[in-house]
Amino acid sequence: MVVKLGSVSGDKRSISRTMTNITTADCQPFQNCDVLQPRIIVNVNMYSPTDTHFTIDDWHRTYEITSAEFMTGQRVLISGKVDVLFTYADVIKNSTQWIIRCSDINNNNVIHSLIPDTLRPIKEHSAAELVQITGDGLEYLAKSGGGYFVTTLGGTSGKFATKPQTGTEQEATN
Amino acid sequence: MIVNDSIYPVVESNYTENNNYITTHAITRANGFPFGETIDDSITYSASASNYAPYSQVLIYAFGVRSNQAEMQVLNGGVINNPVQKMFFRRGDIWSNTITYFTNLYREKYATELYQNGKFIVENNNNMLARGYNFFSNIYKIYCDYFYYNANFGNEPWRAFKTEQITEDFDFSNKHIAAIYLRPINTKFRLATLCGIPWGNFYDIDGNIVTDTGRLPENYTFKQDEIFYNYNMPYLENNSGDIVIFGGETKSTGFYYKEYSWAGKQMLCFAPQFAKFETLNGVPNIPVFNGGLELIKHIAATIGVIFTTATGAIPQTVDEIMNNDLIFIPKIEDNGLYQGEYYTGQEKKEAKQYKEKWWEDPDAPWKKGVQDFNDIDFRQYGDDNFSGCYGATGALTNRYFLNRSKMKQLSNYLNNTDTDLLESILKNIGMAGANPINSVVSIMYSPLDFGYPVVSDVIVGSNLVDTYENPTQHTALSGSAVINDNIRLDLGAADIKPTYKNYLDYAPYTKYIAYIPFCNFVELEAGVITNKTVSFYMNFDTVCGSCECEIRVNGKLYKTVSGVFATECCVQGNDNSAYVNSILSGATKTVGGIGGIITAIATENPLIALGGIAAAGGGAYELSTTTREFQANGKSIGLLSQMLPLHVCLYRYSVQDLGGDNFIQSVGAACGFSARIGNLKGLVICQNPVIDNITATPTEIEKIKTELASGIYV
Repeated sequence: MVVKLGSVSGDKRSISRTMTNITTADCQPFQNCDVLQPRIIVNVNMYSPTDTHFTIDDWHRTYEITSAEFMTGQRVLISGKVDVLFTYADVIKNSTQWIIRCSDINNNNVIHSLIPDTLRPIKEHSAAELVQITGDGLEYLAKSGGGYFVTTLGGTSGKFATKPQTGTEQEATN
Repeated sequence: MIVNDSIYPVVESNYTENNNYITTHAITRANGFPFGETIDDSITYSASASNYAPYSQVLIYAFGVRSNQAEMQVLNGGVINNPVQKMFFRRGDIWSNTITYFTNLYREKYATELYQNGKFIVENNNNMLARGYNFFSNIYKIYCDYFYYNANFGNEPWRAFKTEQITEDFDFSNKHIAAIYLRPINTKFRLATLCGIPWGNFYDIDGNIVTDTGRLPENYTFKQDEIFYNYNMPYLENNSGDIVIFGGETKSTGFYYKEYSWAGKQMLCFAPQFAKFETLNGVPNIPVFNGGLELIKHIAATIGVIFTTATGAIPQTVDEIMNNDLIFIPKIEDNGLYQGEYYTGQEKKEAKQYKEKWWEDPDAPWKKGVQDFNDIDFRQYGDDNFSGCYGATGALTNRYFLNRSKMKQLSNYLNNTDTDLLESILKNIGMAGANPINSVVSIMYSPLDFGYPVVSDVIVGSNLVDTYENPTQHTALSGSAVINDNIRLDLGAADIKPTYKNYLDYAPYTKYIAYIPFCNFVELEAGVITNKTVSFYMNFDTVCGSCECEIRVNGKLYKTVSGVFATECCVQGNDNSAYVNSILSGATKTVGGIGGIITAIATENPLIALGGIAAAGGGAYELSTTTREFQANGKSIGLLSQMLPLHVCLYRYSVQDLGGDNFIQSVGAACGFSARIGNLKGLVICQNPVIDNITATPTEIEKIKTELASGIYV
């Protein structure tokens, strides 16, 4: 059985990791071997302490090395557990999920999200700013100092349009 | 009475258009009769198209215009040989009052301020807007661009109407339009009359009296940016269908109409000689109208021109005119205005201009212009159109707006101690309760002056106290007539842009509070206004002093908030019953004012006579005085709110995001959307992840789900 030993860097939660410094070697399962948590024996010359992962293509899985025990006979017993994010990265990438948090600042669904974020640290109502208003308001109507609305009664009757007669004239008329 | 053609040119010119042969006669007339005086201007007249629009400069002053048009009537500069003057009207049932209003406005506003510096721009809108005139509702500005006048009457105050009021696209294509073009003769005297505009003596910058509606000097060169800073197209009403356009060239009296059909409709064309050259908004031949012959006659009479329903030229002598039953002359009202009525047949001989032989009379009214507009009460116009909120106080009261100075003058008048006036009161005591101050119903102080048209006589009470020398006057105090009970102004608008572009831009993290003049603060929900335009309009009730701000979001009404902009002031009144009774009992002596401090009317009590009621210790009667206190309507006390800003202040209160990009990169931003994992970057946390189409053990699948739910990096 062939195993590829190598090192994988990056956050364990990443699905974009790659294995480097790959060494291909023959290996033997050690005793009863779990495919999800296998223990394999490789020649000590094929193992490097910097190896973090190994891949067994026949099992279609990549494992994170959990321990390496040097044994007699130039052997190393390597224990591992399946790294599902590494092994199934392509499946995960191609899957469609409902995203509830994301740091993709180029995604409008993220940046323009209107969903309240209880984790976000905020300072309550610390800022007050004036929004620009176009238009002149009413000041221009007040330049004259205002005035008074006066409502009156009355009208033009013409009743007293002529000057009253003098006493003498009035007597003469009478 | 034959018109001297050497002085009054009669011009016949012909042109052919679409095989319609049109003959136009132009003679010099006013009020339906030929001029009868010497024209002192040299007449340069040529029946050449180059003398007319669009080949000569066109000057506009227009009713019913729109301001949001970028295009301007082209003024190409050069010498103004034949400036063309037009008036555009929207037609209403009482549209003739439009002219009445305009004429008064014209006289009151411009007569004393003509020929100052610069151009003349007159704007008028809401003076008419709130008067219930449908046809006024969209009138926006009046441009009189060729006056020398740089005053700012109406220029700024009405700017606020631009965005809201002018909304319709101008389209002549399906309108019915009548145009009456008055062709020019080169005189400066008669245009106003010809257009139905009473005119008066105006003074030019050199102090010369002119009686024109205004004219540029012959060598004046227009610069486009100093003339029509905002050219407006005529505003047309979609639902009325009847549009009247008056065009009057400043030198004209030529009048002609021809009846023909077009597009299956009866068309009456008041055809200017070169009307075919008139193209507005790309639609030529605007002087077309299908409103019917009677309406056309009404129109013609309203603008005060002679007209005929016959074909051919209008006769040129008074006798010929009077004896031709197919010729009509306008009826001129006592106030000098035209109301659209006309005489025909032998009725014409009842016309005052004929009976009084105005053409021979150097003092004929049309030569002087209308003497007095004091009897024009704007609020009486269009009463049939008053409804609802309009005209609430227009029935029995007069309403004025007086500045502080005028108010003081009125106060002085009401407290006048002029013996003659008091004698007048006593001699005419039959009018009980004639104390003028009792006719003051209310006084409200307003910090805002809406720029009402000026009237020369503020009416207070009957004309009991008219002066003998000027019996038509009341107070002889000029003031502004409040012709609208409601005024709507644009207070401005704001585009609400988000700050964070996420939930932080909305409640409860962000809120907007607007201060509205006179109305205090109002909160605007961020979720409603963000990424939208918020507009503020103020509706003023000049009757009650209240105002209501309407807040619109993207043009749709969102909220209203009310307040008080004018404050009720003290009005002191007297109980006139005692006053009258005392007079009737034999009063002969008056001391004191005719206003609220009248005292010592009926007795011989010297204390009263000298010192008033207080000194008399009771006297013959008690002067009952009632004083209204300052009132606060609504929720805002007027005088207090008047001290606050007069513009809208919109504040945004928002939280401060302390996380920033680092927070997003390390923790992620809350979101909710479906996506292919491979299309994302950085931290991704999924809810209820689904993994299928995978060859993995259930344990592995559960592990993958757990990882997705707790967060992975892509």
